[in-house]
Amino acid sequence: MNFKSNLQNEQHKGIRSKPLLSRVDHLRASRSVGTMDAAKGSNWNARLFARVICDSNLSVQQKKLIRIELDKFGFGVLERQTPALGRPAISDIGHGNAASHYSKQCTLAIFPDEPIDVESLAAAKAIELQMIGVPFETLPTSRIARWAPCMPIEISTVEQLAKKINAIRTIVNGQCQIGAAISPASVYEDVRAMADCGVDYVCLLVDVFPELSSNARIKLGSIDDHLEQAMKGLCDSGTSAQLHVSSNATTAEQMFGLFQAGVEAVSVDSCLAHFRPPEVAVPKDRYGSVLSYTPVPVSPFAWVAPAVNSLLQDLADWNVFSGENAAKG
Amino acid sequence: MNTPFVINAADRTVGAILIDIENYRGSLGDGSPELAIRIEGVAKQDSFGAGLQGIGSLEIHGELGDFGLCALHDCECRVDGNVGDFFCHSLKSGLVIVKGHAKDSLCALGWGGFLAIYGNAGHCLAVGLQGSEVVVRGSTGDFACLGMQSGCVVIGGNVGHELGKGMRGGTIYLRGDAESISCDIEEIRVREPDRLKIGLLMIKAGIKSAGKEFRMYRSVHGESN
Repeated sequence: MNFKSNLQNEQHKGIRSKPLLSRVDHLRASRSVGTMDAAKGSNWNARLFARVICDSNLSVQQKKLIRIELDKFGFGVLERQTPALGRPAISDIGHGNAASHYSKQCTLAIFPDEPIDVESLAAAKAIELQMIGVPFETLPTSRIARWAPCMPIEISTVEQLAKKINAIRTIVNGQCQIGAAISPASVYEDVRAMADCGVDYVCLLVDVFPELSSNARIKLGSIDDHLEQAMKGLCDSGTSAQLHVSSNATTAEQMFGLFQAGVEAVSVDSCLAHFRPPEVAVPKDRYGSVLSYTPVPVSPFAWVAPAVNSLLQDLADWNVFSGENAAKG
Repeated sequence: MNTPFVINAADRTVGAILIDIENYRGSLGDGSPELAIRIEGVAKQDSFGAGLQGIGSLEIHGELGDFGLCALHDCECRVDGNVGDFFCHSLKSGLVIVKGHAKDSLCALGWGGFLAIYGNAGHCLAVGLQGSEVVVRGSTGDFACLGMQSGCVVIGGNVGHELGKGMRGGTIYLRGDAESISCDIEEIRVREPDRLKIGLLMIKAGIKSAGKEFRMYRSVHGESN
């Protein structure tokens, strides 16, 4: 009897100690489940990110259009920082000042051969060091070589990398999260090294979609094999670094599985690639088509918002139903 | 230029010094003349002056730690003392003169501006340089100009092994001897414009030299500037 009453007291204490904000979030999600407000009210947006602008081979104009669509959500959209080697930045198109284009939603990628640009970093929400690629792209490389593990060219030890991260942190006054993107090679050692260097999160690239198409997916590894090693590496490092994953998860169920495995954020690139409609062929008889209808100008990436909204709604639904199942169990 | 605003850096963090600079900048208000700041007693703090920009004249007395003046932008800076590893990493613009020695990876990934070292530099000088101009009065270690893409490096003394390894662009002017030269670079005959350029860089660095006795190296791959 005493045991039962103690248990009830503990349960009551547990309920009482729950933060208010989490109650509001739960109520909002459960009240309006099935509507768009539910998805927007939950914090799924913060746990999703998109690498498509940085990774894909789409044209500059296409990247700009897809960026406009993705900006409607609170994702961390990965974008290249202002380039040093005269490479055109997406942000430069149609803007006098490159830095002014960056919004606070933007995560800036610094590749192994790129210098640090203070003006770009000042407007970033997060900074992600890309531990992948071929520095300076001096040699003809294969498609997959672009995703090969690579340290910044000036860094040769973990201590130096830690100091570089510290320097970046000093530049941004500690206002930004700093992460590191790695491709799966020796995952345990890499994740642990990155965490020891002081990054806030490690992004594990298991599947990438350079052409934003499910058929042209580049599989760098198996999520089942590498996720456990990555989590073990993070646990053994003893730091509070998080794990982000770019995988082939297209459904809310698969993403929820990753979240339950300890992943903090998941890429939506797979989802975008999955929902991207096939290219529409231009009719040969242009005169006839003009006569038949007057096309309304629509963004070629208008499908992005419904696809992402659908995913967010599915995640909210899945969260509620899995929660109920867990309670019943 | 105003009388320099003096900051004593002894027993103070880098952040506190930067806050002092910002406060001073704020106290001057808009339309003020260029900032002139002198920092004394710097004691090997890492990341000292990282991300500094828009300071007219900056004098630093003391030794800097690693990643000193990282990503410097639009500053005229003079350091009276030695500097650590990765000094002037990602230098973007401005002028930096160091009256002392530098350690490894000096001016790594610099993409603009001008840097002069009156003493010696360590290994991996100007690694991945992408447009800066670097003058070293003394000698340097191994792997100088590793993976250099563009820009200009003037070395007054000797260099170690593998000069210009993986170099894809830019120019090296060397006055002393090299222990070994990478197969990625080749010696080019120095012409009068090159001598003039060396002379101008030396004048900029405050070093008296006519630009003679220098040898010039450029990448064997691709285009050089």
